[in-house]
Amino acid sequence: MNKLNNNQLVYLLHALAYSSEGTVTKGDVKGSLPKEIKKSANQSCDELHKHNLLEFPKRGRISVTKQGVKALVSNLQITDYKFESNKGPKILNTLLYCLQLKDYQDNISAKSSEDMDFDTFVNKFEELYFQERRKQELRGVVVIRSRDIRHSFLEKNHISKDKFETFFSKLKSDEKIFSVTEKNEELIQWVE
Amino acid sequence: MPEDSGKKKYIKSFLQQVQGGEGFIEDIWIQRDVRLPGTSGKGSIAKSLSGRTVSNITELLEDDLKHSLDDGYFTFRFVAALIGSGKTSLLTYLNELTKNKPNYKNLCIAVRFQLSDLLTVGGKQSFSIKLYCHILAQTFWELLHNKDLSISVIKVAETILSELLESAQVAQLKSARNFKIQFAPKFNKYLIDSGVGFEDFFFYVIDEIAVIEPLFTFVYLTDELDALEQYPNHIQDTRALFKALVKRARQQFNSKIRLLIYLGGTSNNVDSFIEGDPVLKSIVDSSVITLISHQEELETIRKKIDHRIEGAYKGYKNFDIAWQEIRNIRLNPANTLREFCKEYASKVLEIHEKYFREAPEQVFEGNARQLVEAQCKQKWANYLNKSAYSLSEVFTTTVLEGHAFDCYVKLLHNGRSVARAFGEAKNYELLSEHLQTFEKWLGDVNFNPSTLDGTPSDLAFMIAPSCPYLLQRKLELQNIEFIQADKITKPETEKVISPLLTPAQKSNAVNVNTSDRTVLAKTFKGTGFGPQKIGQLIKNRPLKNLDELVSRVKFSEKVKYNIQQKINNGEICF
Repeated sequence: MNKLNNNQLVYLLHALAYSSEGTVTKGDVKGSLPKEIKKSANQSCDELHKHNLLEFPKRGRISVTKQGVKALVSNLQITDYKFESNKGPKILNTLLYCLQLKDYQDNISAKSSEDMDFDTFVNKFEELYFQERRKQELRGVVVIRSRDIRHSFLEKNHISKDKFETFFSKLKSDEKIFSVTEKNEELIQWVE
Repeated sequence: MPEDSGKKKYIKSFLQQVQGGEGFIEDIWIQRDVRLPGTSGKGSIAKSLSGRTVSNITELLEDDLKHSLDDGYFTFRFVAALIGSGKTSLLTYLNELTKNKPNYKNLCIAVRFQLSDLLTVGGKQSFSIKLYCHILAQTFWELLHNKDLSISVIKVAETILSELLESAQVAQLKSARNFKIQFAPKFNKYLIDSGVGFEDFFFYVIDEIAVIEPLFTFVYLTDELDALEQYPNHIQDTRALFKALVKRARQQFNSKIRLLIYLGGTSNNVDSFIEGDPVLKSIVDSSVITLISHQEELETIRKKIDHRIEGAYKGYKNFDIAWQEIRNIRLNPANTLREFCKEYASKVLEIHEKYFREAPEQVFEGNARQLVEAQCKQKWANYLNKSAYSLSEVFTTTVLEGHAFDCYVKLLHNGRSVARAFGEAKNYELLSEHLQTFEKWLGDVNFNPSTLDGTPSDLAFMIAPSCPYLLQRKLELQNIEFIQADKITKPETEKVISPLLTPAQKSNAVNVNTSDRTVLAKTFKGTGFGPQKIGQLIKNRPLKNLDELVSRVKFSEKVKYNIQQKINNGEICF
């Protein structure tokens, strides 16, 4: 994912918003930008072009590439930029357009997969552990096997195996769970 | 010095036992919460078989005992837990309960064994034969040799054996003095040779005993299912045996049979044991006790340890610093109960050795004397309201047969002692070892708690802030009464260093007014107060204090100084 700074992000958003039939003049984009972004408009344009997020189909006109739209969508989800003045329908409609793109949905799940933080992991793991324990209590003996819970967690959540293992080890070292080995099988217990 | 309760390192030996972390440690038995399967909350999981509500493991065990021994129903339980979570403790505690309840101990036999025991038994028989032989051998060993059982029960057991075996064989089994060598091998051989079907025989024995003693119950506590982990055939045999037992008890007897069976193992093993047979699974579903520890349990055990240290040593010069170090010990919340016991007790033991190695435990008397006196007046009231009887004064530390009793009172008949009362006081929750020691001392002074001829009987008391339930049962069986006395948490430290004689010092010291010549000779050794002077001292008793001793028995300032030192050190009192 191309990580954009605020200047680049706003430039790209405006470029997309003010395009008609896919292109817009550099001047129109610059003219529409908020004051503080305007200063670095040329620089942002060059940088975005360098990363193939913009292209110049004709002299003086720019067009946002597919890659550029994707970058815009994913960066909008993580930006801390705040608008400081009223925006017209063009900007608002473009934001709506970005929200409705399939890329946006994909990005959300991709983001949770890539960016699941430890606290989220702990909550999800705890929830799964107690669900499983309750089920077993009603059935008879409680045996929470690491193997089973790992399998179940990976099935239900978007998290890579490696990340799961890192977090799982951290659960132990943070004394949130403890494990014992019985019959060559690792069993765990949540520390209550 | 005489053997003194205060000097004996009870705390150290207690800590060492906890540090061992293995099996049942009576002195740290706690009330572990129990909740129903599938409910939220912390704690172990189980459902009572009787339908009564139980809130902790102790209640659950008592309920199961009641279910079988009082109500006459079949009890079958699995006990499952992660390793080091208290399975063996639970089974041992249950066993202890059967032995220490007066109405239970004569009416049941409790057989407790580890399945691992059977792995080292020779012979070519299948595991199920070995297991049945073992169960039956233990049953008959108890029936023939348990002294708490009635003669009629023993007679029935003998008759049953005579129906199968030669009379010489029965005689051999009766005269066997130990189980493993003299009894079990012969019993197994004879029984196999008899050709009897073991399961039928087992139920026949229960039936026959019930004819003569309808309330008689058979208790089997089987541990270490995990020992069979490497032997799938053994597991199958064991499963088949217990399955058949459970089925028969439920179907043929409609669960109305005085039989209680517990089978303990680590969770994974119990799980696969049950899962391995759908029929077993369907008949034992709600019989599982799953032990799950949580942090509050670790904290409760910690308190049991800490409070005893406080009761024993508070007021000593290093106490505050040692206490701080103990409070600073960090608990690892991810420890099993066993790991916790090992780690925590070993750290406390280190601190104990650093600061209290040479120190006797806190000398404790509190209001023990008054409490004992009040109890004596009440218990001996029938005699004391007759004019010929009177109560002696209540002596503090009194050395009898080499043991220093904290309190000693005599019931006098026309000035002559006819019964005695003994008291032992502690400033912290009683330990099982206190009872063991006190029991031995009482034995040495020929403690006689029951007389048949209407003459007064001896009394014995243990005084402490608290006494665990099981220990209290044991005390009662020994005719020792527990008296609750509040813990003294603020001893006046100057008592330890003050040259003035104080009551707190007295109980740890040899009382010159009550001790015999040998004890006095040992006590005064090194002071220059020789045998001749001791003779004069005895003649002049009772003596109020050192000054009176000086005025009655003349001796030098140097000797007086030496004796004063011993008084200051709490070795001598009046």
